[in-house]
Amino acid sequence: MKRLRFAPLLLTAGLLTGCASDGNVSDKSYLRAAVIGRDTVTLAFFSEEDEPVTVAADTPEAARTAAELAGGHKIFTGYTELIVLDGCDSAATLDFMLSEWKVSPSCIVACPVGDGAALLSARKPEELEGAVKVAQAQELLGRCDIVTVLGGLLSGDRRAEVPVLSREGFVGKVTIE
Amino acid sequence: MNRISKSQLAAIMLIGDAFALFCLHGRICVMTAVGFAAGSLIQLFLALPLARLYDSGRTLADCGRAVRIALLAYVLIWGGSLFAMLWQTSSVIYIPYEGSGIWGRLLTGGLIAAVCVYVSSSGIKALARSAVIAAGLGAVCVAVVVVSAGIQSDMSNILRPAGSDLPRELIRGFAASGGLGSFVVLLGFTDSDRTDAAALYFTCKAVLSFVILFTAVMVTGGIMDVLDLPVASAAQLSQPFPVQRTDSLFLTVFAVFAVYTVAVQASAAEYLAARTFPCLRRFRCTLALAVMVAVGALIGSPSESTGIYAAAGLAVLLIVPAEALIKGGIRKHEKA
Repeated sequence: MKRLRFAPLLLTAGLLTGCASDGNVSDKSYLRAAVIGRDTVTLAFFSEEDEPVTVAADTPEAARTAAELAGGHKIFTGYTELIVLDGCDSAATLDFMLSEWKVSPSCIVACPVGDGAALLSARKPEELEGAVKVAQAQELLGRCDIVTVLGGLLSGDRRAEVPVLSREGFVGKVTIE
Repeated sequence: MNRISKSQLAAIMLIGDAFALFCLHGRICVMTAVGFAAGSLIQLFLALPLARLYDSGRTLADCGRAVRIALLAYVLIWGGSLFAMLWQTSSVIYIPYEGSGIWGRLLTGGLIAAVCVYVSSSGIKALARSAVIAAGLGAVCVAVVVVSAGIQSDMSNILRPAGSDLPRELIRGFAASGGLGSFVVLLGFTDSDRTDAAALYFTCKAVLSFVILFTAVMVTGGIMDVLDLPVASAAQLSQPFPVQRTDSLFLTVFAVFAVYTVAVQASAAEYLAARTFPCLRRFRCTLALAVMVAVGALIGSPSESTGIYAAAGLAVLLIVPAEALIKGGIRKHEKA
C-alpha cells in the first residue's frame, strides 16, 4: 500500500505533460502565409485542400477568427513561413505576429507589388518563399526574417529592408518604415 | 548522512539561478550580463566568511533563533517569488491549463508543489544527486541555444546602446539571486572544503549568468523593446535548424528547473523549520510549500522591487557570520 500512495500524484502529474485533449491534427488548418492589408487579410495554408481565404478585418486576430468561422477549422499559426505587409502598420503587425501568433522566427517578411491578396492567389507560398531564398543565395537580398525586420523597425532609424514580391517572384527590395 | 559534494551543491544551486534568469523581466543588454557576472563574484567574496565559519565547525543549529527565523522567512518569500515568476513567465511560454485564470494558476502551482513534496521527501542528498542529471539536461539546452544563436544571430545586437549602468545591473543581479538563502543552508551540508565549494558555485554562476544573458542579447537585442521576458523569448526564438525550434526542449527544462528550484527552497525551509520550531514534527515541507504558494499569490516578482530583494540577499549572506562575530565579541568582553 505504501508504494501506491504516490499513484494519485503520478496520475495528476500527467496534467503537466500537455497530453490534453486539444483536438486532432486533422481538425486544424496550418497557416503557411498571410497577407496583411489595411482592411483585409488573406491567409494561405499548408494543406492543398484549404484554398487561400480573404476576409475583411482590420486586425490579424479578427481575421483569424473570421477565417476559422468560414473554414470550420481552428487555425494554427506557429509554422507561418511568409508574411506579406500590404499597407498595414508594419511594426505593430510584426510585433503581434511574433508575440501572439508565435510565428516561426525564420518567417520571411515581404511586400507585394499591387494587390497582395491577388499575389497569394496567383502563386503558391512555397514558390514565393523559394524566390526569396534564391535571391538571398545570389546575394541580391539580406536577411529578411521577422526578428531582423522587426529589429530594424524598432531600431534608431526605424526602417528595414524587405523583398518585393510579384507574380513574377522576387522583383527587388524596398525599405519599409 | 545527508552530505553532498561541492559539484552537487553547484548543480543544485545553478538550476535555481538558471530558472531565475529564464524568468528575468525587463530590458537586458551586455551591461546586464557584465553586472550579473560581476555580482556573482562579489557574492563569492561575501560568502567567504560564511564558508570559513562552517569550515571551523559552526552550523546553523548553533545560530540564534532569530537568525534561523530570518533565514526561514527569506527562503519562504523567495519560494513564493518563484511561483510569482512562474506565473508571470507563463505569458510567453505554453503551460497547459495555466491560461485558465486563477484556477489554472493554482492548479499548476499545486501540482508543482505536490511534485516538490515527493522530490523533497527523499532528502537533500537524493535531491542533490538527481539535480546533477537535471543540470546536465539544462546544459544541453543552453548549449543548443548558444550554438544556434552564435551561428544565426545578428552580432550587431551586442553593440546596441546599453541604456543601463553597472550599479543598476548589479542590484538586479543580487535581486535575482534569491537562492542565497538555500545556499546558506546547503553549504553546511557539503562534505568537503566549504570555501572551495563556494568558489566553485559562484564562479560557475558568474559564467552561466554571462553566457545566458549574452546569448539572450544576441538573439533578442533588436526586438528588446517589445519583449517582457527576454531570456525565455530568446530560448524560444532560437532555431538550431530552419525548421526546428527549441520550444519543447526549453519547456521541458523550464518545468524541471521550476520543480527543482522550488524543491530546494522547500527542503531548506523544512530544515530551518525543524530546528526553529521543534513542535512542528510532521508536514513541515507541505506546510512550507503551502506558505510559498500563498506568498506567491500575494506578492509580485522580484523585478518589481529589485532594491528590497537585493538588500535582503546581501543580508542573508552576511547574517550568520555577523551573528558569530557579535557573539564572539560579547564573549570576549565578558571574559575580560
